Amino acid sequence: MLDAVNFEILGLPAAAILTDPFRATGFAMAELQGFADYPFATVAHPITSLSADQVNDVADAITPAVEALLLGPAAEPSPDADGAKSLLGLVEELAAGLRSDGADLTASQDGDVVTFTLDIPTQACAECVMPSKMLHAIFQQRVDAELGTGLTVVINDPR
Amino acid sequence: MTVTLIDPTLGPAKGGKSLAPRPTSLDGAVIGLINNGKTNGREILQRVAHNLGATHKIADVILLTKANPSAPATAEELDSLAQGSSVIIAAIGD
Repeated sequence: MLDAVNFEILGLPAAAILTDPFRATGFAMAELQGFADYPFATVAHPITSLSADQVNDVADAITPAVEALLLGPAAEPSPDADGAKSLLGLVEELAAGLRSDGADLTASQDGDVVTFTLDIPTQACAECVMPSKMLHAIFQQRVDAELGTGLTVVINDPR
Repeated sequence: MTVTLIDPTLGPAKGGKSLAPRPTSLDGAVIGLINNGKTNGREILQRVAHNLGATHKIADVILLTKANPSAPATAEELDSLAQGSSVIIAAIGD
């Protein structure tokens, strides 16, 4: 996602392809770069375990969406369309993108501090999980949007 | 007397940036594919580019695979692909 918006900044039309669990993260990453409601194409998760024929089917299905993104803005519903979330709902949303890499996420709130704890088992793809600095920016943006401003996000990252 | 208050705190950008201008056709376009290196990402990108070639007169397709799948493309990677491309397809956020 970040690469696509960086190319937009350079003046090049871009189409990003994400898997469904990364929708919320994708919207948040784009918004952090100044592109609110940035449109992108999504495919079902997982992709990595698909056969060659299945990959072709996915690519064939997503091609019209990619074409539309390159030729003109397409509409994707905002992740905020469902209204404000609880902390539990927000954790579930953010954890979806981590679970696909074998990691998980929990959170707790103490006053104005929301602490997210990453669980990255040894068998998980630790390198696939975004660095803490990037996660912090995304989590803070989502907390601000869903739980209100004024909360401080802390991330416990075992890496 | 008018007093102007300035909030010095830094928050995330909410928008304001515009999409790059879109072409009306991909005829003559050079499609830049940026593959983050995750499994099957390259295959999806190449298949999509192939499919677009069936309905547009694509001039060329350029593939760049990032050195680090979980980090943003470096300035060098962005520049190298941007210089030769008309449009970009990025995959896969997974």
